[in-house]
Formats: sequence, structure tokens, C-alpha cells
Amino acid sequence: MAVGERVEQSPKIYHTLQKEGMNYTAFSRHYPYRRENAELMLEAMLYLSARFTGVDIGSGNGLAAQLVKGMTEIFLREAVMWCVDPDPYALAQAEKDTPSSDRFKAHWIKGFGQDIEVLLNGQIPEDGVDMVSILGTIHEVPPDDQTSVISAGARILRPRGIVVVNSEFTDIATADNETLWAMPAGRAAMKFGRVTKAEKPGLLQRAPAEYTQMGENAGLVLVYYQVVPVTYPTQALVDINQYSGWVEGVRNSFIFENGQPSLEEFSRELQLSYGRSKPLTRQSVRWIFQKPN
Amino acid sequence: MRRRPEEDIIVVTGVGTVNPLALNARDTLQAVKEGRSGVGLYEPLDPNEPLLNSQVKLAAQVKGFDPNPFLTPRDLRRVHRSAALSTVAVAEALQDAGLLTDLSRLVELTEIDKLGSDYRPLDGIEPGRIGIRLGTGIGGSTYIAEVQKIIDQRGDNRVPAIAMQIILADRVEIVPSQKFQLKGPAAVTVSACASSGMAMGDALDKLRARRADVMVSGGVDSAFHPVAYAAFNNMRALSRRNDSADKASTPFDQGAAGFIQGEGAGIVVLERYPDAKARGAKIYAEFADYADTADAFHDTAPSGEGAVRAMRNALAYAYLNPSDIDYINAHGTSTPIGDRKELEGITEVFGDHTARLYISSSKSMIGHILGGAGGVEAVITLKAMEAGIIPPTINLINAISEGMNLVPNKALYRKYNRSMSNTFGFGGHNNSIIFNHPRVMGMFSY
Repeated sequence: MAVGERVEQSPKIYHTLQKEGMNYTAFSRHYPYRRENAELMLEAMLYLSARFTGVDIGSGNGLAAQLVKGMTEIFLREAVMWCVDPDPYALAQAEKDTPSSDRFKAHWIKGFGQDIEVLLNGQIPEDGVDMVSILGTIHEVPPDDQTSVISAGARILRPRGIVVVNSEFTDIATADNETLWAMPAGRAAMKFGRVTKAEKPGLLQRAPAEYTQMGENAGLVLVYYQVVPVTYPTQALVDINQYSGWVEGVRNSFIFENGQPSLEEFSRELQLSYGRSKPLTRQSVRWIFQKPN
Repeated sequence: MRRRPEEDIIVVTGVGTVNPLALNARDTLQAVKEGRSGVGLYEPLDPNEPLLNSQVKLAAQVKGFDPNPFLTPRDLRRVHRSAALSTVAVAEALQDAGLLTDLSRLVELTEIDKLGSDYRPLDGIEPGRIGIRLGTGIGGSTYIAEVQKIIDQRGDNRVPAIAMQIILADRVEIVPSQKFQLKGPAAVTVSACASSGMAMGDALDKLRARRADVMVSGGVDSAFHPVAYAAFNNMRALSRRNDSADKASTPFDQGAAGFIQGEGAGIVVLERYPDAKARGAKIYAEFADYADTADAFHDTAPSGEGAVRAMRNALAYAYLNPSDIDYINAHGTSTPIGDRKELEGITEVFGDHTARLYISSSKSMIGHILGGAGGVEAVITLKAMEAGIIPPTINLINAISEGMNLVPNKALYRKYNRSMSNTFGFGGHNNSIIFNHPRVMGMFSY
């Protein structure tokens, strides 16, 4: 399979792609989520010059590009971004929501983070880009490919360039309120008959130190690290359960004795169940790595 | 523009103020429209009061303040004037928000502990779900000097038993908290003249984190005392233009020669939009966001850089572009260095858009209310935005900066959507807050 083509059938797809009614759009407009990413991007701006280039891996609905666009207005800078994601629905949504401006230009590319060197060959500056962002995405890359994604990001950076990463899916994300997060999911699952907990969770949650190690193994230096609590209102909990990747991850955390419900059916039950939850907090982990001279 | 979900929107549903222009928000707006000055020669509240200062006679005082019916004469014996001002402004804001409708339920401070836990002077809100976060710079701390006088002249056993209740900064929120049974998160933020703005930011965070359903916020200061005047005057922060009191506060003017100390309180009631909508509350504006930064630079001089970061971060957190802002209620104290640095900072943040901005300083009219400045200026900003008025910078003859609309001397009548209010404090505190008019509520730019 050629890089960038037929990604929908690729084994690198870790979860079901987004579509109308089963997507990230509603959740992506929630304030706590955007604020968490805005704070990290403000931090990243300290390392970027008046004109900079960036590659966003797993661009999803375009949040990183929208943030960079906003920063170019606020800091009176100029930026060009190449945004890569395998999900055509998300890409289309992102492109629609992120028009170019005088200061900002985005290119939208269907493909995988592992393949960015090939995908972006001849497009990005020869000496490398100033920033690679992997926002809320690294945990969505198949576990065996995570190292290669960060390494690929490191290779396309210019010296002193940065890799910006955050994740709300590490093993500390819900360490102090795991039951509160799990109960609504359990309630929803039980609507489909007897269930048992799967041996492995639907999404591997690594220790933050493992991601730090991946960055350092890629030859990068950790220059910023922070753990930040992010509290989501009930409506955000409902809306995240419209996202196919989340729903599939939760569904894979259970073994359904009467057979798995469809994603749509399970999504509906999850939304009802989380709709009765109080606001919940996750710990977001942020990293900024820098490429040495 | 896209819109954030309603549940994420925090709105202002009530305002209250007592300040040198007026004793409530409505009359304050009228005074702002007329470009009145609240500055005059200092008038002692007590004829036995010592001389305020040998060189500075100017003050922006609250005139005709009557805390009745919210505080009785017996209550007033236990509170510093700053706590009395904050209590009355809180009462107005709660009434404006429709949460305080029956004043007959209020009791004296000393009677509250005799009532059961079901005592509820407010309507439609669980006392534990309404909090208060106020800012003050000085609070009642000038009373320490009075206590010292008592000790020196009459002995330490003559210090009143309630002295500490008068001194402590948190009394500015404790008194209204007791009076109106605000039992949620309650605290005071002390960060010099940025105290109120930071308090409002903290209150916003409390609502976002669902630690409360309603937060009362803003700030207060009242520090007409020889200690405060001597300290400010000897660092050359105060204007000495005693011969032209109402013309002495001149932010952004080439003749600016120091600030006029003021007193007052400005209060907002904040709540989540769905709650406000459900109870049919009036919506003044969305409190879109805020940012705090520190200069870490100098005890009194601003670096400029910290203010720039505060404005930029506030924009970034609100997901707005600089060009989305229509009006800036500037810190503008009437000190030459501070005024110039702020305008330079605005130019750096807003670039070409600076020329299209309206920028004014309420301190030209109300003086500098220190830790209460941000609260009073937030109320002025909110009332003005609601009424479609750009508050003026009075006493502005020769502006220090060209190509900026500093709204000299006369209020302008314009509909606009977004306001930023800046407050900065000694020690390098910087705070910027952003309000969205209800017609653009929840909308963000990127």
C-alpha cells in the first residue's frame, strides 16, 4: 500500500474512523480541552521565532492548527503548518474550520505520523521544521508505533526545534478517580447483558516516563514537563462519547457475553450514562522536547 | 466564529459598586456618561482625624455612603470601612442578580451565630454553593497604626478585642459572607492593585471547576490613612496638584504627575450560563477569560513585558484574536512610566489594530482604588458595554501617544462586542480580563 493512500484499510488504523454523528467535533469545542492545549501552545511559543514552520501529527479536527493560527495573530507572527491525519472525515472538518489567513497557512495531508518523512518529502524546509506537535494523539497511535512516530518527528526537526506532546491517557490520568470514570462506562456496558472486564484496557495507558524515554531515545532533550488537572463538565463527558475512537476504546475494555453492541448503540448508552455523571477530572501530561544543536 | 457549549460559558448576572462617582452601578454609569470627576480635596470623616499628609491633599472619596440597611451601627463597630464598602456593593450585586430580594431576612452580624444552619437570606441558591472571592490591596491593615497608638498612649490592655476583626484583609469578604450566608469557597486575593482582577479570575476558575454554582467577586479598598499617604507620596506615586483637584488625575496625558488615591468597591456576580438562563437572570456579559502574570522585575516600575504576556494569554485562553477586542479599560493610573508602558504594551499586542481600539482610563474619574480598582472598573466596563458607551479619559489634553483613540474627555456612544480590562500592581502583578457582550457570548475565533 502506498503511503498516504487507502489509509482507511491500513492495519495502522488503531480505531474506527470518524463519521457523521460519531466524531470529535462536539467535544473539541469544550473549553477545558481547548484551554489545556492553549496553555501548552503558549509555552511552545517561547521556543519559536517570528516565522516558523510546524508539522502536526494526528491533526484530528485541527485543534493544533487552530491554536497556531490564533498564536500568529496574538504574537503577530507567521506560520506554515503541515497537518497529517489518517482520518478523512476529521481532515475535512479541520480544513473547513481552519481557513488560512495572511499570517497562517495549513496543508492537510492524509496519512500516518510514522510516514511523515515520506509524506512531506519536498514540502517542508530542507533543514527541518521548527515544531512538531502531537497533541492528544500519541496514545491513539498503536503502541508499537509510538516510538517511531516520535523519532520521525525528531528527524524532521531543525536543530533547536521542538516536539510538543500532551496526553490525557497515561497511567496517572485517572489514578485518583478511576472508579468515577469507570462506573458510567460499566453501567452503559451492562445495558447489553452480562459483561466482564477485559484483561487489557481498550487503550494502553503508559507511564509518563515511558513517553519521556521515547523522546530522549529519539535524541531529544526534555525542556518542559508538567502534569495539569483538566476538569470536564458533564456535557463534555457526553460529547466525548460521540467520538468513535473513545467509544471503541471503552467498548474494548469489556467482554460482552451476548456479543458486542455496535459503536452507535454503545455510544448512545455511554452518553446517557455519562450524562448523569458529575464533572470529572483527568491529569494531562505535557512535554516539550528540543532537538540539540 | 465558532461557539463553545453553553455549559462552558460563565456569565455576569449582577453588578454592584460604591465609588467616588456614585453609590450604585446605575448612577456610576450616568456619571461616566457625563465624564464627571470623583476627585476632590480630602474631607475627613471624623473632625478629630489627623492631617492625612503634609503635601498631598487630594482624594477620590466615596461621599454620602450609608450602609444602612445592610449594616447596622452595631455592625459598623466591628468592621473597617473597606469591609463596609464591600458589603454594600455585594448587596447591590446580589439584588441585581435577583438573589437577594427580601431584606427583612438580614440580621445583625452578632445575631447570625444564634440562627440555625437553615438560615437563608438569599433566594434560590444553596448557601454552600455560593462563594465569594474578593481582592484588596490594603484591607484594614492601616488600623494597625491606630492600635499602636493605643498601646503607646494607653497600654496594650486597652486594645479593643475586635481589633483583629478590623485589621485582617479577609474581613472584606468575611463580613458579606456572614451577612448573606455565602458558604462556598471564600477568600481574599492580595496582589496590590491587580487584586480585584485576580480575584475575579480565581472566581471564574472556581465556577469552571464546579466548586461553586455562583461566585461573588470583585474587590475593594479604602486606605485614607497617613501611613498609606506617606508611603505612596514618598515614593512619588501621588499627585500633589492640590490646587486643581478635579483636573489632577490625568492618565495618558503628558502632564500626568502621579495618581489620586481613591476608595470604593466593585462587585460582580458570576454563574454558569445554563443556571443563569434557567432562573431567567439578566446577562450582562460573558466573562470570557483572564490571565495573570508576574514581571519578576522591580518593586514599583513595570517591565512592560509582563503586561504584554497577560494581555496575550488572556486572548489565547479566550480563543480570541487581538482584532476581536473593541475596547480596553486600561489600568492607566496617571503615573508617567506606568501609562507609557501600558500603551507600548497595547501597541505590541494589538499591532495595526491598536488604531481601531478604544482605550480609556476610568481612573481619570474615580482615582486609583488600589486593590479595588479592578472591581470598580469591571463594573464600569460592564455597564458601559451594556449601554453602548465607551467611557472617557477625562483631563486628557496632550496625549503621550499619537494614533490611539484614548477617548478624550467625552464618552462615545457605540455598540461593541468585547472589552478587555487591565489592572497592574506594584511588585509586577499583571491581570487582563475579557468580557463578551451577550450577542457574541460563547463565540471564539479559532
